[in-house]
Amino acid sequence: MKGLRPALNVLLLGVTAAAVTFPIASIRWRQDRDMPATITADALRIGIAVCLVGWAALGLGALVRRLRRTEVARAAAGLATRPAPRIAFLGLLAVVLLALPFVASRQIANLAVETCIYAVLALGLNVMVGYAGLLVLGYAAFFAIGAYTFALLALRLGLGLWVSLPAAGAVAMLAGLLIGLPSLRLRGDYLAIVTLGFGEVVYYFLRTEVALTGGEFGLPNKDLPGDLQKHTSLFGSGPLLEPTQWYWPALGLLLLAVFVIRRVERSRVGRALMALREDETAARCMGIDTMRLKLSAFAFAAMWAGFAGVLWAGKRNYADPRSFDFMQSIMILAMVVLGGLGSIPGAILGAVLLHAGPSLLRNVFPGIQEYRLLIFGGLMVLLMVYRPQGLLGSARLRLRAPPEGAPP
Amino acid sequence: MWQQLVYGVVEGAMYALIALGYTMVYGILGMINFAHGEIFMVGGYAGVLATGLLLASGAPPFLPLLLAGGVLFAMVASSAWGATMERVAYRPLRGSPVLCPLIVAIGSSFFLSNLVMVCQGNVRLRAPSVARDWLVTTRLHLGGDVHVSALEIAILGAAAVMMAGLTLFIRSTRLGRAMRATAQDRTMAGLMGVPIDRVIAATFLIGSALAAVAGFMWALYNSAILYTEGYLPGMKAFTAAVLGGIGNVPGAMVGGFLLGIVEGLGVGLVSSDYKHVYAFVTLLLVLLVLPRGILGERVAEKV
Repeated sequence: MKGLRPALNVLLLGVTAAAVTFPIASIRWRQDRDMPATITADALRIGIAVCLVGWAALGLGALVRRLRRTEVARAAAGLATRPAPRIAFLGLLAVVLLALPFVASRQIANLAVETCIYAVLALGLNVMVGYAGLLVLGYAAFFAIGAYTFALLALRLGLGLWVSLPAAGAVAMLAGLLIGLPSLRLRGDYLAIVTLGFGEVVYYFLRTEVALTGGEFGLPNKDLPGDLQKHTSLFGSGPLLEPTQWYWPALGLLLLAVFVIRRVERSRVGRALMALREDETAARCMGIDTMRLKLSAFAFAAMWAGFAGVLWAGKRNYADPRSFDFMQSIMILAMVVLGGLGSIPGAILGAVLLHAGPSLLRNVFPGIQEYRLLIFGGLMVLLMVYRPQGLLGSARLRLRAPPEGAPP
Repeated sequence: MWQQLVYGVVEGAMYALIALGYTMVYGILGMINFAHGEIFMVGGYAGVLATGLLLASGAPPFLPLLLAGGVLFAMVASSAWGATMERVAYRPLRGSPVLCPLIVAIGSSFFLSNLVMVCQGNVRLRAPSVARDWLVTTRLHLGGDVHVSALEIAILGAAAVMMAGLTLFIRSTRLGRAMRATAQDRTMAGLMGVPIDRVIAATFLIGSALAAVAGFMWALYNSAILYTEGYLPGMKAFTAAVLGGIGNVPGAMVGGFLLGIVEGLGVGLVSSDYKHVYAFVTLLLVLLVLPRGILGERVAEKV
């Protein structure tokens, strides 16, 4: 009887799924064909599917547990913790990253560039959410500011990337300070909602102020024509047109972000940020200037989004508000949290999984397109329920109890 | 402008109903249930589909019957989702860092809205005209160009009844008292014999039912509903909840109406281009002066 418990639970889950999905899955009303509403058996099918998937997962889990007990598995686990495989892994990664633009198709290269840009965004947001513990829900606004700064500078003044990158970073930093200032008094969820509001305000500003931003049509548009990519020469190589050409700047920015943020993480400022996250009051008692620190965190994180925005607009040759809505902010946040809060490899892994994952899924299973976000949402829930610390993250645990032999 | 004010008050009533769900869950669990907007949207769909079924089953096109059927079915459907979500996704994460339930909520909200899209198609589901025409065309003139439709009066009336009912429920029933106790101190309430899990499930049930009513109202008021339409009303309702002081039930009502009125006035006096921005700007201004919302408690910092 005891062995049956999980199977019965899955059955219960299936019945629940059938009952819960009944209203929206089993009632069909084809208004376009003037047909009356009817009841179908779809909810029942969903329930059965949930049961089958659940039982399959149970069987798989039992199999994995049995395999884990074998000698081979133990040896493999021992091997994985030694430094040699780590070096091998990094080497392999380097080879893949270097070879990618030469072997990959245009589409894959494009995806790689976008993933790099998202990884920079995730790293930047990680500084605020992961290190400082400031929940920011409007991060895409800074991304948008970077993109539009570049688009306006290029189209109106004909300036190139070398001016636009620092300018976009600076403007985004200013915006970060602007939204950071009123947020200083707020804590936790209040901060989250205010930054969410800021993101929405920027988004609707971009959509509405047609004279400045081209409204829904974005930049360039018919009133402000031009070609953004004409202004994207980096090292005298001429304008960057192909995704493969954008690969190196994007990867370069990502590596720079990793390097700088890693240095910050292990600096005095990084430790102060984490102290802020753990306990703001205690941090202030230890002499940390929390106001200044929070503002710096805002400005620093916003700066990376500004840089990323420039590359985004340049690569797409276009800046339009749709890329910067609330969903975008949420996706970036999801990358940080799923990868593991406060972990640099985690943020990058999150970006790869959440950005490249759905696209690759679509390429491998073309029929999945319609169900893509459905599956994605479900996986997000499952992952969080079974691994709340994220895939690679254990920032809090590491802080509390350093593993033996870890560097001080 | 006065007409816009009427629209604002009516939308405010719906925001307030949704905001109650946010604020109740926050008050008890301290988490933002981002999927609440989707629960609201499911309520809209379920309500319209139920009226469709009633019409198809040959029930007489008798208005109160259709409306009651829609509301009841919407409440059942949304509550079922709310409670299931709590049981499957939120309960295992109780006690983990704040961001985990947040991400789970976002995941469930993706899941739910795309489930509706996959099942019902990427087209707006229109509210049946039998259930709507009389309500919209029957109008009460308030002088000048300003008028109130029967639907608007019905929405306001239903919202008022539900809010009064909720207030009474929280104030004077056993379960309401258990909810207040759990919101105050979950551990202590548990030690005093309050069945915490059941109280939390009940909170989700009630909040979802309120949102479902708002969803059905929304579908009737805007003549149709689409699977993406949970997001913006949900966001604004959340803003309303924060505006009133999150975790505070009367605050959510005040915040909802205030938000609707500000929006109506903004559209009437300034321009409708920024309709969706007024809510957030108001929030920013209010939080600058009152960092815990209008009716939020001033909590002393615990060290």
